[in-house]
Amino acid sequence: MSSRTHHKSNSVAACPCCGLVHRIGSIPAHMRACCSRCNSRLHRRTGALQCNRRTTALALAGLVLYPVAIGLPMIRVDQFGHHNDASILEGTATLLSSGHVLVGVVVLLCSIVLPLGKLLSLLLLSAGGMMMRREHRALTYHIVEFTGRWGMLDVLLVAILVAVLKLGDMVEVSAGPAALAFTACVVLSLLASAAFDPHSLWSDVDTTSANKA
Amino acid sequence: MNSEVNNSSENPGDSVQNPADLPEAIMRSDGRSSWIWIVPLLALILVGWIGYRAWSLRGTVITIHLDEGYDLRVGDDVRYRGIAVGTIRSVVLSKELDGIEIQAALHTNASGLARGGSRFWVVRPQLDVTGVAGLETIVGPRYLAVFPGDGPPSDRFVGLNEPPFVESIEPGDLEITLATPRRGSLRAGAPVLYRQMQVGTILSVGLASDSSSVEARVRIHKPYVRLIRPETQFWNAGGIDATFGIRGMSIQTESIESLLAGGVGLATPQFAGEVVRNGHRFMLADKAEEEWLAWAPAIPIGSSLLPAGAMMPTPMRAVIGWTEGRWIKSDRSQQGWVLQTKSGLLGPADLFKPDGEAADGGVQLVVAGESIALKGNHQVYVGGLAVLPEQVNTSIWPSSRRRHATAPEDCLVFAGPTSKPLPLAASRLTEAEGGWQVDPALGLDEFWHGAPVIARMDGTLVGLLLVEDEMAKVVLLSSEKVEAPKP
Repeated sequence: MSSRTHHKSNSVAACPCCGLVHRIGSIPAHMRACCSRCNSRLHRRTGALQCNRRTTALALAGLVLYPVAIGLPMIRVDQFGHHNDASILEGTATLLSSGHVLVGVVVLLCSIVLPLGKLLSLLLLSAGGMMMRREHRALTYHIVEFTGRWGMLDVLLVAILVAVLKLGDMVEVSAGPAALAFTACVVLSLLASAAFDPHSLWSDVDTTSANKA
Repeated sequence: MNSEVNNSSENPGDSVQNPADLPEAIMRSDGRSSWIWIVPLLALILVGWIGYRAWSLRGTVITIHLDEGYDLRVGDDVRYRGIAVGTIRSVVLSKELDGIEIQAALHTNASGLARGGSRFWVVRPQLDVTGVAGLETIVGPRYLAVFPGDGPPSDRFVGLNEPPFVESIEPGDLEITLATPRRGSLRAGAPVLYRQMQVGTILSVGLASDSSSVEARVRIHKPYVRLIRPETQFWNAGGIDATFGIRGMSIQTESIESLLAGGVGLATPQFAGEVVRNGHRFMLADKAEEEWLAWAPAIPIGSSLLPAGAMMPTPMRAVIGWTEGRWIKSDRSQQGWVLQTKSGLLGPADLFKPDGEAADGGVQLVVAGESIALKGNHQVYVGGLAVLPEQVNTSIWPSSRRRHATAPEDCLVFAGPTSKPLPLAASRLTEAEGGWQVDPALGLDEFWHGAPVIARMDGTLVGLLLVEDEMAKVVLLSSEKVEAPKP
């Protein structure tokens, strides 16, 4: 087996960008292997733990912002001098309790459950993926994939709301403190999943399967 | 082992190719990626900042019980002096169903409004004959108005159902009771008029506790409290007094406002006793007697330039005359204002001593028409002020109403009773040795020499205005004595 800093010599990997398959020699410390054709980084590292530090950090940052993002006022609506602050949590509760069950459930899923699920599973995979069983890794990764597609609706929702409700002086909608946190949260979870390298999830499995074989 | 790796399940498609023919990957230096941990740190800082802001804006939460909600809603303002000082957090029915409970969050800087005695009421449009109130709430939202009390901090209040009639209740107002056999046109909110000027408001009208008369609670505004003496007469000023005669019809009313709303007139005779205390009871006459309307006592109620109720000084004209020269005699004199204080006449030092050599026995001081023999016993203070221990018969300026001033402030200069007080803005004064130099552009002449200078802030005497060679200067009161002049 290779040491921590040196990659297994003479393994092969396809470039994630252009698909050209490379032979990767031993990688010295603080160096990385790059594609000879398009210069992209070849996603092969020593271990998932080291490789996905970036994802861990970003997901952690997203989780720190998450309670603020859903708990504090997101939008502020002024109508004839009445003003009303609405946080995502309050808004969802109001929707559900006032009978708009369908819309309420959609908002609950898209803006509360799915983003949280995505961030949590990313954190789990990137920080403790090596300790999980393979089928659980796969399942968690599928969750990340699925939730990622649905977690961005909120910003779109706010954008539409602002466009619809900006009716001059009668109704005014402005962003609250949570809007910043929520946007940061969404961006962080995007970056975290972009930085995540699913291949690394199985980097330890190669040897085990090989040993088994 | 290598072949095992290559042949393993990882890249099954590549197995057709010999790994040795594959291009070699390029090695590049990989920046340390530990900077990425700054991102969660930044997120923590952001959360801390947002949390701190939300916490600092949280304010003081108070609960107000109201009988009627008047469509007050969550998110409406709590207002004081025309600006928002808080927000309504929740409006719910009280547990006993006897009213509503309002939770309001006062902004941090307005948390001083949450104290015992503070009054809360809902401002809503109100129209009646005396006027229109809460007009802005016809289209705009209702709001909760507050008027601060002076008790200890508190967080539970019982709101008023009706706006208080006197919104700006100042400490120092006088409350009296008027008793009358019949209600007539008395009603709460109606004005109390002195010479047809409003000096107070009727707070409430009701039967006396023994139902033998109708009682009206009246609040006299602070500046006019001095008008109310035990001999003061009150009469019902509402309605029309119409007389028919051969010359036709004459209609008399106090004012249109009181014609519609009903009001109370009052008059005070010349010698009417001391100012009354809170709760004094007066009888309300049905109509004014001729004699009352003729009363015209001079009761100082203060100037609008001075704090309400402040006393105005009454300086006296003083003239010192003397004869100069041994062979060629010439009459000289100096004029100015002096103020009677307890220890004597306060005035410029040059009014109490001839300026230069006086011929023997020729010095004469006349104050308010009275001749005073000068014995050289006046006390001179630093700056050019002096006190002559003489009592001339007028009102004495109390020693409690004088103080030491330092930096220039807004003042009023008082000459005799016939001339108007002269305002001196602080910007016209520059600090000088022992006093404040007055801007020469004001053109103060010798007439003002010795005139008392009263601070506008609190109505106290801070000094005298001395004019010498067309240069005016406010000489501040000083307790530092100058050595007694040698005779």
